[in-house]
Amino acid sequence: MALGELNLPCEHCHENPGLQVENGCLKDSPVPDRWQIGKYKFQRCPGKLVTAESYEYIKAYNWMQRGFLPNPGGWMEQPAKFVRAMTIIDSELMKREKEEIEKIKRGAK
Amino acid sequence: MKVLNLASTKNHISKYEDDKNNPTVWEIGCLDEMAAAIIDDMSTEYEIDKNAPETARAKTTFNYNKKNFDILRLGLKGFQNLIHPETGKEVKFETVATARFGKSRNVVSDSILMVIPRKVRDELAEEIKKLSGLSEEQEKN
Repeated sequence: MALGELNLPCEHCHENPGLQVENGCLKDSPVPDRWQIGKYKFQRCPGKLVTAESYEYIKAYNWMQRGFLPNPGGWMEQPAKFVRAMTIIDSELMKREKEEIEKIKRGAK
Repeated sequence: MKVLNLASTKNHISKYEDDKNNPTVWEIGCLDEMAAAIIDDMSTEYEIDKNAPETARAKTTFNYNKKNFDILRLGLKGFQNLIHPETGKEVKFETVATARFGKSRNVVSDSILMVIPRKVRDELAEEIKKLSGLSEEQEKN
């Protein structure tokens, strides 16, 4: 499932404890790869992890990867806040990729 | 997409506002990356003594007030109900063209900046800085 629509059924989860467990509402879901945003997978419900503002930044990051910026002009014409957010997201993703590679290398030994 | 839109603004009422029934409403926006970088560069000057570069005879200047003026020039997008302290008339928002901040821009005129009390200017500059950057909580999220 892609987070893009952010149509998380919170009301249904609150009425159904089984769904809360499955969707990772209170802690990690036991279902492998329960949630997916692009190529990234999560065990916890994204609604619990991501604020609406952060969601906008993540969406913008995905569009930036495709070559589109939110405002006319180049990099320097974007809000300073946006540039900072993209730097943070990029840095975090690179960190996680590095961790994944290390994990694979350790598993291969 | 408000957080990403360079044109989006926020209304702010100063904590120093005297007239709570009919306050001045300030319209502020965020700075773009180029403007933020140039203002940061201009805010601190460091000069060493060329005749004695190894010594501690260096001069550092922090242009705090100048920085706040520049932040306001770029970040103040409008206002309502600003009354001139001398004439008692409502001040009209005006911009002038400048090429100081990396490219041709329209910025708030100096005549308007001089009408704004210093403590309100400093407060508005802080609000614009907050809008333009990420808080620790936002970075964490």
